[in-house]
This record gives sequence, structure tokens and C-alpha cells, in this order.
Amino acid sequence: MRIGPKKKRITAGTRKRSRGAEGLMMNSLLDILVTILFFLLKNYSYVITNFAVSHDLTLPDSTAYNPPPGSTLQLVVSKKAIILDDKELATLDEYGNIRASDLHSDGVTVVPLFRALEAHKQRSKFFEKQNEDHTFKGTVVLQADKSLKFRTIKKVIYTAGVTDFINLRLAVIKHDA
Amino acid sequence: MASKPSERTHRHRPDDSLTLTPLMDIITNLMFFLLIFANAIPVVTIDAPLPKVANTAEEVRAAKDASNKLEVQVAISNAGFVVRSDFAPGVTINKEGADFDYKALHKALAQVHFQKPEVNEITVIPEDEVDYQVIILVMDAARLYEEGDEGFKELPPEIRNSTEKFHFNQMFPNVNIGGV
Repeated sequence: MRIGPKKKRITAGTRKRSRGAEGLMMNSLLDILVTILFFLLKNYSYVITNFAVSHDLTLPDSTAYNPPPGSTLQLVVSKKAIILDDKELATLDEYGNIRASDLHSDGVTVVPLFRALEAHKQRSKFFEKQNEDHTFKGTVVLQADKSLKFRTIKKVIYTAGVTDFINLRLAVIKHDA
Repeated sequence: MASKPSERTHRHRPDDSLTLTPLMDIITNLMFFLLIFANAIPVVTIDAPLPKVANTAEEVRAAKDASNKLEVQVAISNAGFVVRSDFAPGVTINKEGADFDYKALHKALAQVHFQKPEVNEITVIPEDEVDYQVIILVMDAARLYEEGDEGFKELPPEIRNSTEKFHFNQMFPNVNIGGV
């Protein structure tokens, strides 16, 4: 006596019928893709273009909501350097301090940054004379690494202040409360 | 000799299933497009204007007027926060273990603001060893009323989904960085 499942006899008819299921089943894949698409579309509304964040720094998280200004002077303070509009002005030591050689005798003014900001201001004021629509507002966006100490940040802020860049805007990464 | 199969046994049935290939193409293209651009970081900014040196007579007058303003300060050290104001007793908020107690700070600031709702400016005075992230989180704690605060107002449904909602429960949206 035979025990076990009965073998089904393959006939020409059954072979022909099973041929219909040979194609790739795309429904599940499509479901996954549509889900990812909706996720991306939802997040896409948050994305702000026209604002470049330096790669070697981590901005602090915040629940702030003001969008960044379009084209403004970008002052970057990473763990390694101070950069103004993509130009490296001074390097920081291994503890994130501004080197004494880059500081003025007052101990707070960052000399290379002071010179660069002064040059920007002079250029902007020159354009102001040429073009009435152009006004020097002294706006600067500060992108600083979240792990930096205030002793470093305050020297940068002070230097911006003494060069009349008083409209300081702190760049942060938006996260919902 | 083999005979030609009959038309009846070899008939082609029309494919009545949905053609998904073009849809797949569109979705895949859209997905790659979004993946490329969606990895941009959602950056926002906090306005922290610096005090201007008064040069003209008008600016000196404005500065004198400003000096009569009521002031709220948060001193930040690695031990915690101290909230001081011209119209309320000072509050010291120590760290909870290794972490700063932002909730207690928010509660203290909400109480201060509730006493003088017309004051909307705060000065944060960090010590040298304080991390930049801590300063930003203090600004966050001071910005808006939250549910459960005395001054919290329920959002009207018509502004719930607009950017106007950010201007509704404001506490201290204007921040100054002191100690510079």
C-alpha cells in the first residue's frame, strides 16, 4: 500500500494552465515602492534648498521655525576651522579652541575673521553707493558645530559684532518637539 | 505526419490584467529623484541680533529707552540654570544627574512670562564651558508656551495647519546672547 501524498499526474492541460503564473509578481514590489514614495513625499515638504550646510560639522537640533535667508554671508565654525563663504580663515586646535596666534591682543577678536568681514562690509558699502537698492544689513548666518564650547563661539560672535555684522542668524536643524 | 494544431486549442486570450510596467517606471523615477533631493537637511534659523553700538543721537536715545525695558536672563553653567528677571524672584534649576532640566526651565520661564506677557525678549548668558547645543535648547525652552502652561491658549482650528500657529503661543521669541 502507498503512503504519502498522491502524485498528481501532469497532463498537457495542467502544464499549459500553470504557464500563466510564470511572469514576475510585481504587486508586492509596487506596494513597497508606493509606500516609500509617500514617505519621501511627506518628508520632501520639509526640505529647504538653496542652503548649503558644511559637511564636516553637525548643526544643533532645535524646534525653531524661521526659514533660512536666501543668499547671505555664511560663517561656518566647524570643529576644525573657521570658514567664511567657503574660504578657510583660521584653524582650531584639537580642543576646539581658536589658536592664540589668530587672536588680537584683546583675546577675543579673531584677526583673520575680522579682516575678512571688514572686506565684505567695505565691498557691500561700495555697492550700496553704486546701487540704491542694495543696502548693507549686516546679516550673517552662523553655522556652528553643536559640540563647540561657548568660549569659541563667543569670540566669533564678538568679531562679527565689532565689524557691524549684528544681524546674527543661528543655523540649526529642525526637529519637531 | 503531424497535423497543424487547431485554432480552438491555440487561441490567444487577450491579457485583461492591469499593465503595471509604466506605473513602476514612473514610481521608480520619482523615488530616485526624491531620494537625491530629500537627503538635504531641513535647516532653519534662530534670530539672535547683537547689540549695536549707538553712534548717533537718535541711537543713543533709543538705547536709553531700551535700558528701561524689563529684562529676563538665563545664566547657563555646567551646574544648571539660573533664571533672573526684574519682576520675579530668581529660580535656580540644577542638573538632573548629568542632564540639564529643560522642562523645569520651561516651567520657570512660562511662570515669569505669565506675570508680564508684554516682555518677549530674553538674554542667555552662557559660561565658557557650555556646549553650543545647550544654548540652543535653552532658546527652544523659552520660545513657546506648551500645553499645560498657565498662559497656553488652544489653537483656533483655522490656523492649526498654517505657519501662523508659530506666532500664537509665543513666550520669549527674541533672544540675545549675553556674555560676549
